[in-house]
Amino acid sequence: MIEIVDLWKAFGSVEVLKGVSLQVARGSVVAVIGPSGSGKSTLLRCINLLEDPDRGRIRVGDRELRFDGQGRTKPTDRELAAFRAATGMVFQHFNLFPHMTALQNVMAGPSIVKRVPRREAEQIARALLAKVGPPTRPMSIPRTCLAGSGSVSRSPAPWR
Amino acid sequence: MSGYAWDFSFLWAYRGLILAGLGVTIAYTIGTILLGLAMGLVAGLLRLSRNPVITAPLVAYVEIFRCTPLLVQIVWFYYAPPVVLGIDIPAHVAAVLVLSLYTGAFYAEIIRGGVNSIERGQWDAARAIGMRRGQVMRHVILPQAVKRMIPPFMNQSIIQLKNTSLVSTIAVADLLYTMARLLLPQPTARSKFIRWSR
Repeated sequence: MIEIVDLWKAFGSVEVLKGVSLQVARGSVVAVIGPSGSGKSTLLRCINLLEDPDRGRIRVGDRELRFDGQGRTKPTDRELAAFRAATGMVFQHFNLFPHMTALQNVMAGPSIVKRVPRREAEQIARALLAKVGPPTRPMSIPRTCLAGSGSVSRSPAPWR
Repeated sequence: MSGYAWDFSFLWAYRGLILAGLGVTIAYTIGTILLGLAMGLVAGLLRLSRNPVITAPLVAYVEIFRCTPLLVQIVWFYYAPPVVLGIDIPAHVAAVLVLSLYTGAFYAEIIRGGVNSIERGQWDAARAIGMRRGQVMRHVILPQAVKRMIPPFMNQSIIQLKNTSLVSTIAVADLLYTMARLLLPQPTARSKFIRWSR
């Protein structure tokens, strides 16, 4: 389950999230809809801590982080990375790594972050790419792939 | 200028000296490029820190060495220490030091600029899959940034070759100094050429 409790986030003097709370049950799908500038992206980026919330509590699965609004409980880079390694995110502009092949992109999570041995990471990656469909050649550079295959998530969550 | 005959064959007799001067120029170029690169890497990468205690002195270093003339820096490093600090710095040491610091400042900005030019989405994606900052730099950012750093780096290195000619002003026997001593009239007590005095 993903749980957000009383989340506050301001950019300078602009308050974007004002006490937002949300619960998402495991296996469910939630769509966040709103006008441009309403804080949708900010909310998502706070869930995996790409943004630092000012105040509030965020829980993903059994990992939780609290922010007390006074900067004292700022998590370390290592803590943040560990938290993020348990979440997955697909980006609006894909943000694939252009200097790696499609296969290496998908392998990046398991092999670099989770230290899964290379061979095993490669097998996992090939299996995932096969799911996306024949047009994705594993060794091709991301910009030559079809747009749809870009959304093969690199999240490490599938192989926990 | 009429009556001047283009004849450079006399240089052949001095080829040893010319090659020596050329060797000094090339040695200074390559040596200071390498030293400058070491300094630039440290300064450029540290400059990316968010800690002002680290970045402030680095900014000072880069700004001072990029925004003042190299010739002025050379003259300072050679003539100032005996007066201000009471220590004598040999010309070749001063020359290497100044050239390295000068080009290091430029390399630092090339490196910092290269890293900053990588779009934020790459940082987002790398951090979103759980990479720590060091891993992001090593696996995602630097491989892409280095490609962008190469053209300005080559440019700056080519310029460095020409910069070394300024060491001739403190009597380091590079190519310019050698040829000038060889070919130009030397000032004497009765000549009308003005001479530097120490």
